[in-house]
Amino acid sequence: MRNLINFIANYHATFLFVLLELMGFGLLVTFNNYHNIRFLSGTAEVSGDLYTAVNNFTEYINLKETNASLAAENAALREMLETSYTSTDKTFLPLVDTTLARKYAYMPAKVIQSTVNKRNNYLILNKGTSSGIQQGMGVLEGENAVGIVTETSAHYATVMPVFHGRAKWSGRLKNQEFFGLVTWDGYDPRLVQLNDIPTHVSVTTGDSVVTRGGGGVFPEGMLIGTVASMEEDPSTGFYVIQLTPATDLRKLQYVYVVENLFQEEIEALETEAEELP
Amino acid sequence: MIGTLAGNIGRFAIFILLQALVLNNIRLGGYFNPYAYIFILLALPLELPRWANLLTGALVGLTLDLITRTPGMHATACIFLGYVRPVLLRLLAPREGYEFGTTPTIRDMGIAWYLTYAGILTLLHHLFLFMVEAFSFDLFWFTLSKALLSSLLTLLLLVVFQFLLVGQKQSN
Repeated sequence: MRNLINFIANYHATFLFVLLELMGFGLLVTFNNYHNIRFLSGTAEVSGDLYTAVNNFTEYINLKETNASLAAENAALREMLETSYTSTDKTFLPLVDTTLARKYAYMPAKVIQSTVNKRNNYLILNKGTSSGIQQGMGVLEGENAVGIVTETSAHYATVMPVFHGRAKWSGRLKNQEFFGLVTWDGYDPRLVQLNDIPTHVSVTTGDSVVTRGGGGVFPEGMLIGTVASMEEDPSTGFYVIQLTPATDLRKLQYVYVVENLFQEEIEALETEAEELP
Repeated sequence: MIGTLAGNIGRFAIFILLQALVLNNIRLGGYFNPYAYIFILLALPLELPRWANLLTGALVGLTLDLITRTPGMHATACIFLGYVRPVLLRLLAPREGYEFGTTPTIRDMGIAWYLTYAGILTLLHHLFLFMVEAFSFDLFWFTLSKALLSSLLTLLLLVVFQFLLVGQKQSN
């Protein structure tokens, strides 16, 4: 017994080390899972407040670029207005069409913090559950897909962009029916990968890859990126396609959070389908 | 004693904020991610017991993890640093042991000693950290080169902060 106590006393540092490391890796494994990424929502408020203070300053530096991008978006929206169209026909096309039900609601938000050089990157938005933001909503910049909300606190939300080890987005080649998974291999923050496109499909550089809209997170047809290069993998018969992402996280300032008003219906159907024998 | 404690708490506050708000935003081609906040751990007293090294490491790592939202990543790397530091200090000790009142600084120990001390610990910490961040061996060489290049930048920053914060040897 005394020997045992002596042994523990002599090696107390190693025991403590092993114990602490086990706890640390416990944290790592528990919270790095995609579904458990809602890490300590309370602390989001603290780090959120901190980043807001810094962002208030850096906002001034980027004011010019922000103005330009907002002006461009204004112009695009103005083009959609009724006043931008002249009737080419006697029949007037009503803009409020009661045969269409509204499917997506948009909410503006500001990015107060973002990382780009990590293996797993994230953004923090300045709006949270008190503004109606929920886990699983999509985030857009204009017509470009940015990310998916992973955790929320009262006033902040964390967004997982495609630059994350666990991001798997369903992307479709525009003008074609083929779709695959968009992931990021962790090498270059200027390139993401589109997988599962068979080699008989004709792909050319510059082709757009857009969201499929199947999961209900993003509306259909939001730009993910454009094809930068492709390579045939003879062992699988699929392309390895490199995409230039549509959004530059370093410059991202104002985004829209998308709420799918039918999300509950989709999820209810999905759970029903899973319960079928 | 009180002065030492206050100094360590001050360094803790300064370097955690510096890391979270400035250094984490450094983007040099994605290869250089300096983690100079380990200055807090490197500047701890020489005679600090091993268990205290470990616990301080856990505290510093967890605090940064909370801010950067990477649960366990910095904590495990800092605990590892806390484990290795006393061992390295013993190996690097002068023949007659450390003089009473000396601190692990360039001023007290000289530039060669500090570069060895900080260089080895920075490299070990960064290797551990980047491996944990990647959490797989898929990108082994990429991760390794990232760790090496970042270590160099961190070491440079550590030396700069040594001159900024510790000051020069007083001429007596």
